[in-house]
Amino acid sequence: MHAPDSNDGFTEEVLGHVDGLYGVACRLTRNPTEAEDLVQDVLLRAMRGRQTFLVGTNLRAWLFRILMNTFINKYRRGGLERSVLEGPDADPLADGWVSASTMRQLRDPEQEMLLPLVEKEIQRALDALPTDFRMVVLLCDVEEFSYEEAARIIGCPQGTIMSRLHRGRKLLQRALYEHALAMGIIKAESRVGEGTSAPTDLAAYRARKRGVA
Amino acid sequence: MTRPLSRATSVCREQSRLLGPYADGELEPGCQCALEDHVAECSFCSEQLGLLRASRVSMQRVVHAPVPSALRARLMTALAAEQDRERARSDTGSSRGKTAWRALVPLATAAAFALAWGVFERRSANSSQVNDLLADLVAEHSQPLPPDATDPKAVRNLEKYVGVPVQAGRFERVGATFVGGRVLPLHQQRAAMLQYVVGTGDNARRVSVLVFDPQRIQVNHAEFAPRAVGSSQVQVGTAKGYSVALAERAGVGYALLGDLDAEKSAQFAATVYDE
Ligand SMILES: [Zn+2]
Repeated sequence: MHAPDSNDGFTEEVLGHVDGLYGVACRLTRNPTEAEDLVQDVLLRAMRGRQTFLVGTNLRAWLFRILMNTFINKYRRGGLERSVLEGPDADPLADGWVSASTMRQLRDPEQEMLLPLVEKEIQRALDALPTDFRMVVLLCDVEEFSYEEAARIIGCPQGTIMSRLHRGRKLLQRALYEHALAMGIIKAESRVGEGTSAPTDLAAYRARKRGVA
Repeated sequence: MTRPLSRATSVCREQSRLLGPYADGELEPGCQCALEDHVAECSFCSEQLGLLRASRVSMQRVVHAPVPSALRARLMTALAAEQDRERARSDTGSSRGKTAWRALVPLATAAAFALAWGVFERRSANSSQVNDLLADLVAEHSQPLPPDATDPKAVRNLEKYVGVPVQAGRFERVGATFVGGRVLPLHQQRAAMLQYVVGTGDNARRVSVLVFDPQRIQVNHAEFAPRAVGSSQVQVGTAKGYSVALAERAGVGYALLGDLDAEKSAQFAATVYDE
């Protein structure tokens, strides 16, 4: 095996973004093998298309655009998911459904992290998001692209980015809330109005999870 | 200091959609300040904000995994092999379509297009009026992705993703070199994007032809001037400094975006729509 030319600055710069691309690819495909293929595909496409890359523009954004595009076209060609996207906006956590003190318990105030919740559960909640929401959450929350950049990367209006991000985050929070509740990290609250019914004991929760997965 | 509210109020409900953009620093400065004032007084919203931020940090920790060393080795090998292939291709002199796109300066000034598409009354579109879809097409043209297919024959396969026939060959006789084609996801639909280079050397100009099902994708612009090219009605104009022509023919929608000068543009448009 020989390494790519080290005097090729472009290749080197691209390789510098491989970690970020791979992490996102893993959560997009939810499958390490597919993620590896996807990243390799992206790198080769970037190499072949490097004449089309405009020097001085954002290489990372361009690579993520290739990533999203390749993912959509190659790994999701079956069709676009629409079902969940246009549904009513279930928004229990912004509705007085969960109190401030419960939310406080969901995170560690010192470190700004969801320490009580195992990483596995965050990953599972992320994986359970509808793909279109997951793509936006990965770009905006994980990779910290601006709405404008995310809109360019995915190829949709900024308004769509905003609403998918909003709803994706709500779905994530709800999943984490249900988990924390089931694990006894927080106590169930008396809910105002009808929300989505959250399972209140661990057994029911696990049963439901198995059903979903 | 006001005692924090423990429950969401109607204000919180109003603000709830803004809290994310606020945390992301995407609000207008005035809006940002107003929300900041509310969050300072409202324990519900400040906890909501804390949870948003905590979720972000946690997700970053979860997602950011270093690439396994085996994958890194595989990627290095693949890239090296690709470089070898490129070198082999250029040695045999068959580097067709390898025009250095980065050297092509997009004609960003509207003045350069004053005469585009021949003589027509130019009602230049204010860029803020350009609709979302058209703006996206311009963005795709100005910073294109590498093509999926570079063989003109393979481009026909794009039909199954786009829903209408896609052909690449017909533009070659106006001196256009086919660079490649790819599927372009567009607002929940798909179009085919065909890329060409017209001319050579310093005169080389890029042209993108979008082919789509007009039932599913409607590209239009109220400010564009209708013009007859042969037997077709075509809408022509400029968007963000690029020349644009929109047309429908035999149930297929076309959008043509170019860095071309006037004469070449007119020739190209005539070829597309007058087949
Ligand atoms: Zn509030």
